[in-house]
Amino acid sequence: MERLVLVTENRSKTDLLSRCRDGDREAIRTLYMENQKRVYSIALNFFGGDQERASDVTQQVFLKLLKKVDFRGDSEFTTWIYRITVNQCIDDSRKSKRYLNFEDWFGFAEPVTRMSLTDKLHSREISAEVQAVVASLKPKYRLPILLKYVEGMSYQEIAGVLRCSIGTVSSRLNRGHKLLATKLEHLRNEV
Amino acid sequence: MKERHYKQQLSAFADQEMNKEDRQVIAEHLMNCDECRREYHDVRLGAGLASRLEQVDAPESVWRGIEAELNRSAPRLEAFSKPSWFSLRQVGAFATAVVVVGLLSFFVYNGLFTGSRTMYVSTGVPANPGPHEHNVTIAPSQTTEPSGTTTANRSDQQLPTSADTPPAVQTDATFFPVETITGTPKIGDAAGGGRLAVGEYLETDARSRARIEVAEIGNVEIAPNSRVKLVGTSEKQHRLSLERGGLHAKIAAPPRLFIVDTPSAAAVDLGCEYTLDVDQQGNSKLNVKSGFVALERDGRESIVPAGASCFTMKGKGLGTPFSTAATPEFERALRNFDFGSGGSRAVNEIVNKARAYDIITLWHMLSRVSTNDRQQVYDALAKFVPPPLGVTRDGILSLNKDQLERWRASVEDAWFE
Repeated sequence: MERLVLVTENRSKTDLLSRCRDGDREAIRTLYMENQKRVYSIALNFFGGDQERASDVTQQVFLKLLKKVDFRGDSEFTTWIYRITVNQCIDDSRKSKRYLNFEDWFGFAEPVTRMSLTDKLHSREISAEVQAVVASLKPKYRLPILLKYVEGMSYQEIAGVLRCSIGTVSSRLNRGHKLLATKLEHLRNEV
Repeated sequence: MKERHYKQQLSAFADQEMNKEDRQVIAEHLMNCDECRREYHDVRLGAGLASRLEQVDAPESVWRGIEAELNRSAPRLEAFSKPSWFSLRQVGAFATAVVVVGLLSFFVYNGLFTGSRTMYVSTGVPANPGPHEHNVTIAPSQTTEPSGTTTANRSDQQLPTSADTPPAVQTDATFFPVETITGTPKIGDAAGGGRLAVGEYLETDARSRARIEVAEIGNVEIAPNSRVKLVGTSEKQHRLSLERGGLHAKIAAPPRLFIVDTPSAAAVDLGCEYTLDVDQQGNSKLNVKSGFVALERDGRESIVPAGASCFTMKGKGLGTPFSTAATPEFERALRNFDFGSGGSRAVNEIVNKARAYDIITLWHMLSRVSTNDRQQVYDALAKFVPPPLGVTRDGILSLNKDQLERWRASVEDAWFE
């Protein structure tokens, strides 16, 4: 039954995509409205709150969806769209890293922002600090965290998007959590 | 007896991503193990902090950007809209038009209106000419068919081809639009942008740059001092030849649809963005920004992923891909291996200097080194990317294709992680 629902849902998404590629603006708008939040949110948090980059990545993802990539229906549509988003984020990230030391890519950067104690009392600013620290993690730790806590996905769904095992998702989240705790130890009382 | 800890499972435990029995075991363990409990508190802190991340709507400007991009490419999309969009009346009108054009072409071609050709029948002898044909001679360049040629055969050879179809279809199939970015690029002898037809060259001088629109799949920016030819374009393949200079391609299409020939290799697009430079000697350097490009020559292939480069040398063939962040020493050793007389010494140097981001190079080297040298390349690569399940040392050393391919997939995963 579950499989049947997936097939039906994927078929309707395939139809929607097909209409989109035929230039049907209403269908394109529908596709965009249904998915913009998840794509933009992943990109925004991936780039530590950089709205310009997140907007650019979001636009690229949808243009790819509309023009180039074939959805074969062999995975859930949302898994597929997350996968494209993740790849686009990594591609974009690589572009900007090309002229930097590669250690930056494999290692950790310092949190982008430093805030005063007073500011930290404000929830929004704590979130911004968390966002900055998450963005400084290696992508292999960053992506499972984003998919888990921004999108609320299960380990199995994350494994589907990242094309790895559930065990890998589990161990990367484990490591990611501990890194966050180490870097944001001073916020222990805020949580 | 050594006590078992559960540090690796603590996230799954906190997120309730395990079955009830396992949860019970870990819960009991946490009550008695200070070490794991401390870790669990950290995991919970990390999870609590991560929960602060939020979903956010994209700004309206994103949609406007998408719309603007769609409007820019709308005419081309509409030109290829599906027949299902046509009303029955339109389909009927279109079909009638096709029949009329076809008949007109047929009659014109066979001289019924112009009388310029001889008709043949299936017996192989000229048919009786119509009255309007008596005073018309066949032009010198035309030849009559040999005896025995049938109408059917002749039709197969000379019925209107795609080159005879209406202009809109013909132009899409035989040229790429060219836009001048700066200066005055030349197409053939004409200056300025316009159309690059199959067989024509586009040339830029030191001050000019141009952009070629490649069908509907992307564009190619031509750098100054370049010479590029449109070799062919069809639904199955679009092919340019870069004789010298540079280009920057942004292509989003199924693999192998877009190819650029250079004097030393062919760059086969696998869905990507890349820069390709060719020097005066015909050597080239490829730099991939996103996706993959395959460099091919004489049955040999280098698959270059985003973040990697590759040299080719005229007369010496393909180089090995390397990370754009490779050290100069590593690059020098690799060039010595690829195009010099480096041999085992170069292999040794490469292996010793290899770092995590040289895994693409190491994988390619497996099949390019001698059996003796392969062992140390294997060890170096295994240090960074352990061979996946089912891939063995013996299998790799004997160049088992399946195992090489499986290891390549793991290397790729590690590369993009």
